[in-house]
Amino acid sequence: MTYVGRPLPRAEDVRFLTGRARYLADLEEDGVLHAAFARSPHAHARLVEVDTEAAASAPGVVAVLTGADLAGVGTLPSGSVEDGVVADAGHPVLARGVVRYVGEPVALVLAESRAAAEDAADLIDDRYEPLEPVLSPRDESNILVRWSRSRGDVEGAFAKADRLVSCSFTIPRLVAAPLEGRGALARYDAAEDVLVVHCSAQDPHRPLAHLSHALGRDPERIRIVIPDVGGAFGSKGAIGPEVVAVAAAALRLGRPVKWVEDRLENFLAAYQGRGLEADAELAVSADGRLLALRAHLHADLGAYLYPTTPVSGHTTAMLLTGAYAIPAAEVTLVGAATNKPPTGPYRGAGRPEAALVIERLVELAARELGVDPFELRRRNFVPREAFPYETALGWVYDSGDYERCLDRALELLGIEDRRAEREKARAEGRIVGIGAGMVIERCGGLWESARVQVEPGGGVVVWTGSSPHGQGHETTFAQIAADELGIAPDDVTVRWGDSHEVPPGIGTFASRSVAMGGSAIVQACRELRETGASSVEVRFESPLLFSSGAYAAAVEIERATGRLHVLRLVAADDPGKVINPLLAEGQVLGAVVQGLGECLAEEAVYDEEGQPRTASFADYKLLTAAEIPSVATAFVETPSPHNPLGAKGVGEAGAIGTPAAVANAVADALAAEGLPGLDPPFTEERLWQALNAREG
Amino acid sequence: MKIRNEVTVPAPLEQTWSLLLDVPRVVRALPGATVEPDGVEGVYRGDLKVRLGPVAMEYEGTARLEDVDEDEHVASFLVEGRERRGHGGATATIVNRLVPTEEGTRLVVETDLSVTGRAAQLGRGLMEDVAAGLLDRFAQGLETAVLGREEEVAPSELDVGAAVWEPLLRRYGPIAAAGVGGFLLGLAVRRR
Repeated sequence: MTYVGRPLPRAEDVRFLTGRARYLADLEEDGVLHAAFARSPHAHARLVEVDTEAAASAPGVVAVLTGADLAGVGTLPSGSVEDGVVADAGHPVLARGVVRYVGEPVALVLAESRAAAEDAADLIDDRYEPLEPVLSPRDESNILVRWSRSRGDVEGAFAKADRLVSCSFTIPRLVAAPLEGRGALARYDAAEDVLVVHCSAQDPHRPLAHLSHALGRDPERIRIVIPDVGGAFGSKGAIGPEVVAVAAAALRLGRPVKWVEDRLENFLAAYQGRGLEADAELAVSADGRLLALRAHLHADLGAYLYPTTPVSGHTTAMLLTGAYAIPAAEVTLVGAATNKPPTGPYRGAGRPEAALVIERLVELAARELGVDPFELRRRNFVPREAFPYETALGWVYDSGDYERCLDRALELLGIEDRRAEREKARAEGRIVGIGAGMVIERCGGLWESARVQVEPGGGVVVWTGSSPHGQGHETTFAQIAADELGIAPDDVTVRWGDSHEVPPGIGTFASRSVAMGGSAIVQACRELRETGASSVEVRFESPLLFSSGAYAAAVEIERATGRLHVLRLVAADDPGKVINPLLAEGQVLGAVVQGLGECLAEEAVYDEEGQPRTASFADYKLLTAAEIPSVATAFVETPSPHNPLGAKGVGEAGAIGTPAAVANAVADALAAEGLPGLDPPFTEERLWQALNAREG
Repeated sequence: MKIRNEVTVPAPLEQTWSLLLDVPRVVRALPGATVEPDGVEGVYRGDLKVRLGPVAMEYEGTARLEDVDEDEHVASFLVEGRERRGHGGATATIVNRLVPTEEGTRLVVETDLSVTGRAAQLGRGLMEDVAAGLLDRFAQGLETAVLGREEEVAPSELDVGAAVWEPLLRRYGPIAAAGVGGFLLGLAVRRR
């Protein structure tokens, strides 16, 4: 009997659903001090004075630390971009001299209770001289990331094109809003000279590297332990300056220190996703060939660079040719510093932005040429026999069958019925539309580790460098190991997250866990079988992988209120080989809901002074079950040639395809009214204003 | 953010005008506020306690008479305050304009307000309602002062909760309803 490919229910759910999971806040430590941060109320200001006297003498307070006290602690690393220029603008641990966003940590209070720490933080007398904030990514007064690439004869293609279509896009910032915020519990083990930090993160390896960099401490003398994590969606791929401050305080005071982020802090200071403006154009021939693409991207990076900040804009840039064989492309990316919290990966991390831009342009081109948008796509898809296919911008797509994905999506949508309904509804004066969006999901890459060990009792323990925060590693990884070793998944114990236990690895992000972490387990199991050893540790390496998919939506806009109803949404995904269809569909549905949130409601808004207008769930709207339509899903499987499982990835697809499909459906609906398409979120207000702009 | 309030005071223009310039007297009519002259002509020092349900904020700061146009009956104030506990503050330019009407005098208050800190972050949209409620009370206070009824107003802090109850419910009502619904659903599931 084999287990891979079967919809086994999640083994870890027993723990989660019966309240036995252990999150960061559940961890106890004798003699622990609780941390609370005083944060900047200004988007941009000179920090004139931080008077901590009153706070330091408040009841229960043990210490108050400012930027001056932690002068010996460095910043977080700034990250990098291949072939790009990245400024040295790492996040300082506590502000010194200037504050650059509302919520930036200014001082740290350590007290015997959380309540005492919070009360004392309010007593810190911090004085500022406000400075003019920079809020638009088009304000290039301080560039943090610069990248450009031009391949093929772009100028020639634009010169000889029969039609040009162009469009500008504004993709707002989003908050990741994990159920569990960030947090850390740091303790210095003097006997071993080891700094032990438990933190809510996506893996132990990156927090270890970031802490080592900021504290200037030998990585061998740091141990990171990841407990159960209540969601991350990309936002816990780099540690915040708060974690560095907490670790520095534990080292300095010789007592354990715990910080559990509250919701307000998460809204103010956790890094946000998206935040991109784009000007893009396509050169098209009269017979419907996409000849070249040109784009300028302006990324709203925020005040500092987290190690993960530069990545999303680069991913958007590299994926702009999407699923299409466009022979020439020229893209520039300018990442501007703004007086807002830093940005970083959020489910999709650059891929949804790329999909929105290219898919909207393709439908604009179809409208311009008067051809069916699905037909135009088919004419320009990278053909199934062309893989491996190097795109104009230089990434090599490993496998795919884009036409089959689109066929499957249109079949699920019931395209002929939907078209008939659209005609009928329009005849009745209703505002309805149909649209699609193709998905290209860059995943995998780099390497991942695994150690597989046979226990004396016959069970098998798998240590993985990958680290779960909702993906279901304990289930899928056990399925994979079980098949390789001819045992049952119940006989496999999956362990992760403790840097002193697991081999060095990379972690869980970019839809890479099954393809990279799973393949490492396959490789270790095979070596175990071949050598007869009781324990094998491996590193599995792979080039980048490219999942794909097609999404389609049918929508209606209420004429009287502007309210958008997503009537039907379908997803046909090609994640390569599916290990567990139940979990794969769960990934698709979860990401679809986040994509729908991006379409219907979500937007992190800052006013003209850089003050956040959406710092609570009262102002930042997340969807509820009431707004989610039924979603039909299907899988197409074209195995990747780069790993023994044939897997690619599926964690982000829903967040990539949904906004593009819904934006095109909305554009289709508005076009029938003689109106141009819009950027998400498609709120009642935005749609109502668009519909009523003509009158006045 | 810009806020506009209007109130009609049943008193002649000149009487209302002289009262408007008597800052301590006007402020006394605003619950939760205290003010005293700073020693500098046209500058007053004071504090303000505002409560919005569980959130209490205490500001200390100054009010400065910026501009007085006797002919047009326009007086503008610059008010700057800092939270006594916490890290936020507020700055407001308040332009008061008096217009004679048949019933007395219409007071038009145009305010340009900027708020930082927790008050700004916890329901930013709500802040506009709070500020509008505050200014409404200011206009009412002026009316009370004109009628010589200051002693009727006594609370030591201004509870703007009452003034913004309706927008509060509108904004948070669906969330509260969803919470209650979820709780009931939870009970139902547990009982099965």
